Amino acid sequence: MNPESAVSVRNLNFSYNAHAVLSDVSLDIAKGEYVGVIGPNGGGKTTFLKLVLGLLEPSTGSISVCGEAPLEARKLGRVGYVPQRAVQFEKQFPATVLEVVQSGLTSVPASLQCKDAVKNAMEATGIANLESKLIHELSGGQRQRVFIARCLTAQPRMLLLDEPVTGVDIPSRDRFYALLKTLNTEQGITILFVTHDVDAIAKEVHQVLCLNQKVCCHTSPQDFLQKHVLDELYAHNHA
Amino acid sequence: MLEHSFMIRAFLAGAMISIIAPTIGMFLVHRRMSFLVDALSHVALGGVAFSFLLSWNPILTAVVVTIGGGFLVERLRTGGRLEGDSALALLLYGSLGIASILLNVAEGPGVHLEGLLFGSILTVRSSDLFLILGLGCIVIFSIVRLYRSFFCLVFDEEWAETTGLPVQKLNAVLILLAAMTVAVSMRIVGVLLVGALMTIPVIVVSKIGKGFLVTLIAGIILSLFSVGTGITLSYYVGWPSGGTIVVVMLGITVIANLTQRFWHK
Repeated sequence: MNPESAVSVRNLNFSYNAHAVLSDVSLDIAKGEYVGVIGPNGGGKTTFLKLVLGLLEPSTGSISVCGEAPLEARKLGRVGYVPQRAVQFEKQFPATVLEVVQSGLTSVPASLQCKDAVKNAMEATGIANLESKLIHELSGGQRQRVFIARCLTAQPRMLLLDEPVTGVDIPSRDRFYALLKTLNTEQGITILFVTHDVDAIAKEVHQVLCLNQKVCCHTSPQDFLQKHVLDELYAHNHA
Repeated sequence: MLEHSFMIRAFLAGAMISIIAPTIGMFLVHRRMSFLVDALSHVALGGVAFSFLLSWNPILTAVVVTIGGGFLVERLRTGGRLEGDSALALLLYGSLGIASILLNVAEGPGVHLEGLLFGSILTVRSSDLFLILGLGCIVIFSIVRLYRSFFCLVFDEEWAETTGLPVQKLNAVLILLAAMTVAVSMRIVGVLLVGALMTIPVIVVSKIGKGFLVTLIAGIILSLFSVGTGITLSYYVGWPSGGTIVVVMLGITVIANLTQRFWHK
């Protein structure tokens, strides 16, 4: 295990109902990296995120997050998770943006809570002017900003995002990517996001992790595009 | 009216259930578990019937039996043996069947079926009042202590789990509190109408709510007003208190809706 890594994975295997979802995955993601995780449906992308979060246990192999076991890192608030929930949201839920962002502090021990955490998180994500709005009154892009702010209150070192811009319109999507870039460059937060958006892979991330049961490639976006990995991958899957 | 000690007891018990019923209801409704209240209230009926048979304290017996029923549903649901609704339906109709047999066996001067089903202001004894206030305080204390955790659970369970919150334990505590609330409320509103007190205020105020906490407080105020008015009307007119409270609540809802529409024209 590399202590300098945000995520360090060694010989990881994960099976579900005797079906191999991930096989022999070994990789390191350095602190401060911005990684796009891409691959076909059923290729193990979301499973990989859940393993990093400690929501699933590896069948064999090991995984460490910021030098800790995933569960420990999660409990210490080192990892923030943004689910794919921007569009499907309960319409009658009466919570305000402020209440949702404040809920990010729920599991953070009082000794680790920053006094201005909520205010700082809302300012960093550009939603300070929305604090009294009800969550269901917001657009998909605004909601995802709120969910990022909720994570930021715990001052995480890494953000995991599962297809965060699904169903979000293009201008909001661009603003969302700009926010991720700012968080990565200015706050040094490691970002790992699952996407099907090759455009985002080309323009936004530093590294591409392509998963299809195994690591198909873990390289720079330029290299990834030159090698036409996806063409091969999808051609193979559709064959 | 207040010269009668049973009315003072009814108002005090009513005030307590006006606070705890919509509070627990707020979390259950937004967690889409409203049907759980109906199932638990029928289990409570079984508990009361059982207490008649053995001459035990009805509220305490109902609390214990209802908590047991709540955990049984959760176990069936989370164990994957039955889907959520099927487990609730099984519990609801099973409890009703058992209760009807037990009530038949226990039939006697102490069994007031109408008061049990639709509530009665006459049935709150001093010992019941202490139990209602004591259990109510436990519910309020638990909610205050776990408010944020419950909020996370109800708003986004998947995310709550990723932050390390003990989602299953929180679920269990919520069901326990719901079971206590049902058992505590049934004297005043009756077994069949407990669900109304836990859900109607929440449904009404959620439409106009300006935040989760504000909505919760508005639900409590609506509930306090409805229960107070319902008990008063029940005293003067002689109607069952549970039904009167629910009718008052619905009346307020209709008036509020009409006023809102008129205001926006």
